[in-house]
Amino acid sequence: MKIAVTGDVHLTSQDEHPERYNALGNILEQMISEEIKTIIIAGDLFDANCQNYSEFDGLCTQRKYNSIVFYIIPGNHDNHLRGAHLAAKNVKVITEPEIILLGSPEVKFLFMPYAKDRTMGDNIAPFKSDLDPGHWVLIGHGNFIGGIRELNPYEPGTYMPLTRKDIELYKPGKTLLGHIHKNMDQEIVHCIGSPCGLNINETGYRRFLVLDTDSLSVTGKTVDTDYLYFDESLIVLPMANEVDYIRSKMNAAIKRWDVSDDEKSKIRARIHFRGYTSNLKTLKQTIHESLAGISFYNDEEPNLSEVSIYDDPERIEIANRVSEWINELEWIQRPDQPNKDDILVQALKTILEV
Amino acid sequence: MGVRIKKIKVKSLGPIKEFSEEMGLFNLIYSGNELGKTWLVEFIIASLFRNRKRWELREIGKSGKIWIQGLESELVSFSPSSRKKIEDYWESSGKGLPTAIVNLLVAKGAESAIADVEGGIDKYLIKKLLSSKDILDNIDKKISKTVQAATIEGQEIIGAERGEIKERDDLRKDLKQLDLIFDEIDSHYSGGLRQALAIEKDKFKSELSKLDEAKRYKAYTIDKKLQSLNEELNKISEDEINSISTDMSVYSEQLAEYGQKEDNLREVKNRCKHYEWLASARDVYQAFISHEAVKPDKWLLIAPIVSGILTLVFIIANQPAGGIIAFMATVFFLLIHIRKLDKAAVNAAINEEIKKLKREFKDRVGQELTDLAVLGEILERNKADYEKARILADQLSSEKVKLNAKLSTIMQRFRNLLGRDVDIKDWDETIRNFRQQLKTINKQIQSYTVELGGLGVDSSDYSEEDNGIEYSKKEYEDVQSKLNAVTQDIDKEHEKLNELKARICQVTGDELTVNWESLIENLQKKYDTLINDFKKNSAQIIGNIAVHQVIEELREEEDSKILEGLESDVVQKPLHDITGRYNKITLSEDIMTVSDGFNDFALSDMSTGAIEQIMLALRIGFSSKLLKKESLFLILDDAFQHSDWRHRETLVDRLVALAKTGWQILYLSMDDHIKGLFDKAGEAFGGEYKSIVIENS
Repeated sequence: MKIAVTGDVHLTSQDEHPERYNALGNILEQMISEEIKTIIIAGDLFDANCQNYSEFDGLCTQRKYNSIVFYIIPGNHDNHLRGAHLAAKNVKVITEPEIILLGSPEVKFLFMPYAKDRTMGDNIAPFKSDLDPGHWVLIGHGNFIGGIRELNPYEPGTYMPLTRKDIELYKPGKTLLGHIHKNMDQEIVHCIGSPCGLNINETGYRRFLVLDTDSLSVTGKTVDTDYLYFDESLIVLPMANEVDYIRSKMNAAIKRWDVSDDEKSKIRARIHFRGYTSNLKTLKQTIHESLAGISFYNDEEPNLSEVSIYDDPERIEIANRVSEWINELEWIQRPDQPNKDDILVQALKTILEV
Repeated sequence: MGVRIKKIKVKSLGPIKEFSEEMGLFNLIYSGNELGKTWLVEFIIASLFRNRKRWELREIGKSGKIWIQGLESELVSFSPSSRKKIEDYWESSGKGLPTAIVNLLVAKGAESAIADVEGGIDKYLIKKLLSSKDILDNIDKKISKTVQAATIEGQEIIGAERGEIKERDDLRKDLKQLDLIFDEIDSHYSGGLRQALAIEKDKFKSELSKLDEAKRYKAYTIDKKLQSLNEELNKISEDEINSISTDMSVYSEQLAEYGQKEDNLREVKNRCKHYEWLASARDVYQAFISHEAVKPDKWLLIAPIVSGILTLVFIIANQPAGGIIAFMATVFFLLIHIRKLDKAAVNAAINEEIKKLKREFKDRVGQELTDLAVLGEILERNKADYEKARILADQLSSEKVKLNAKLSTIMQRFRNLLGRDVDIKDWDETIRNFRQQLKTINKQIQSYTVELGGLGVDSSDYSEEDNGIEYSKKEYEDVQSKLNAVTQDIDKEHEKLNELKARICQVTGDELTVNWESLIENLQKKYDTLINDFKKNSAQIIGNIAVHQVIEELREEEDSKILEGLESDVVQKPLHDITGRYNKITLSEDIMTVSDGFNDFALSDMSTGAIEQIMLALRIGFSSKLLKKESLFLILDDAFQHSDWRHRETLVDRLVALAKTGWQILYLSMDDHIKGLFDKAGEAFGGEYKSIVIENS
């Protein structure tokens, strides 16, 4: 049996953020087309200030969706959510850690709603004897601190953390976590990611997960969202043919986004340029030409505040030669190492800053 | 056709209010101090050339233009705001850096400073003039020797452990340290483990509590058993048993004694069983023997005979008295003898009886009754026994009473103990059983007491409630041991966690009271800072390695370009034109040599004046070569200011010679002597000589 899993929808109201409802609606539509009858929402279905649940109730009770069963755990943003807040009969809000049997054959799902000042391990421990190692699923809302050192830029802080030790100790067959809006997939642990970009930090295509209870395998499905956010940082250099150079850089970035032509209108981009140009006006013009048909996030213009004008041909030549050298350098991009752009920026400082 | 500055026009340029002049072939622009000469030079540079930064020009106004002839068919105007500069009219050579044309075409007293160059002139000087050595050097000197010597192999920076590389390694170590801390957080922060241990602890505590209840219940039950045993024990008084046993012993002894006495009595009685017969026999015998027909003793027969003989003797002897006495004795003896015979005849029947008596006597006593004395003696003996038997009988009778009383007492005591009669034959066994029972009870009491003591439960804690669990010390100790172990594990986990927290606080600078969530966030921030520093440091090092290596490549290319230039005719030709003597210049192993066709001269050995001429020639030659023009313009900003007067004359002469080859000379000066030299030399150029004075406006 297949079960859809999402989280961090952060619903407010249709008027304020229709795109979030649309994203959830798209998940439900995909479920219907794939005949998936159960959806789990791993916390933060509602935004912190949202008290109006009637629109979500209305969505759940729509005739086409009323055969879908919703299992919802409160997250840190909607920790106040209770079953009584929702009238829809096909919605179950799980406010305390609870094992629910789902699927056929039945699999134990341990639902772990967000609890302040607790770790997930704290809450799993009482169920240990009921959990068959490797054959149960943890649905939680919190941080996975196993192997992750970086701050969550969207939500710094540690919320009901799950550690690798907990995974070793309790051996869930699969762990699906809400809270971290960025997708993350490890063998056992998956951060579902938000199904709809809430802001420019949540870039690219969004997804929801489909869990097959037979094999406990997880598949990501793209959500058809209203917007696709992209946040790019590009280096510019006053090359001999600067216009072509900028254009090629922009095209490479757009290619990286991997957005089809008919979805380009969904793009909301923020682009931050660093480096040097011989002509700022030409640079701006080239950027705009390259981004024709693409909207900017919050109507922000490309950020050129870190681009300096430079007209020293000798130093520019050195910079170009260094740029080529760096491009040819066999350097594998790793999270703990600078990328080639970072290296180039530092090299440019040495070359161009007098 | 050469390239020449046709006209310069400026307005409000520093102290210069207005300047508008057509330029000739040979030009001197003169101004007093602070009257705008430098402003004008900078205006020319800013208008014509790129790379204003090289000169660190002040902010030049946009009001002004310079017209250049020879670039296009028409005059081309340049201003500081022009996007197109004079460099745009020449393609790059493709090797090394684009030549800083401004370096070649504008001389700002550079040649005069030759003598100050550390380490001599030669290659350095040429590079300074003809290449971008200064730029390369200035960039390169920003890069530490450590990084310059470093290389990149795979993803690793290989270099000496100092400076930035050491900093990077230190950062990497710090990051590794944080990685370990994160791993430790992953291992020890797990609430799951602690919670699991806590649950286990609760389970053991609960088990222990139940076992404790069971123990208290067990203590209670043991206590009850002890009470019961003690009660039982109290019922079976050991003293009583001992007393009974003593009584039994006494009774037994007395009984034995009694039996002995009985035996004795029997024996004594046996011994004196004929007493009464003997006593009777004695009397009879005594009576019989007095009547016994005893034949007169022979002496009674002999005595009368003797006494008769004696009588006769006396008579014969006429001893009447003797005869009489003898006679009388004879008579007496005869009488006795007769009496005796008479009696014997009378008591013959008695004798028979005596015989019978004697036979009986023998039968009873086993010895012959010889006389009364025998009988008397035996009788006496029997009498003693008889008396003894009587006494014994009396005693036995008395003891029998006592024995019966004792027996009765013992029986009663058994009855009291057992509630039933105990046959005398069962006494010992009963006592043994009692004793065994006592022993068993005592043993049980002792065992229970030890067990109760072992439980260590105060009597006030006894529990009457049975929770259905059987207390087992082993199980209790086992659970206690597990509880201790899990408590230790929890303590260790807390200890590790606290120790870990302390270490993290050391890293983050947080107080120990900070909560874990904030601490982890701060550690992540610290990690972010460190990783960013590490990445930045790495990027700087790699970027600088890249820059240094490119600079090295460029230096080689520049060297190659210079060598190539020095060997070209277009560079060699002005050498002779300007120096009037040398026709060849070579650079070998950083030593520059000029030749006049006969001799070679090391540049370092030459006079400053000669060097200045050579450098001027090279400036001209390289300009022509790189810009592919036979003649261009040369702007000299008081380039000879520091030369002595004799050199100045020579240099001006060379400029004249150069101008005659088509090169346009613009000399800006505030030196009256130089102005004089130019004015004099300019006469040869007629209308092509412009001596312009910037007036005080």
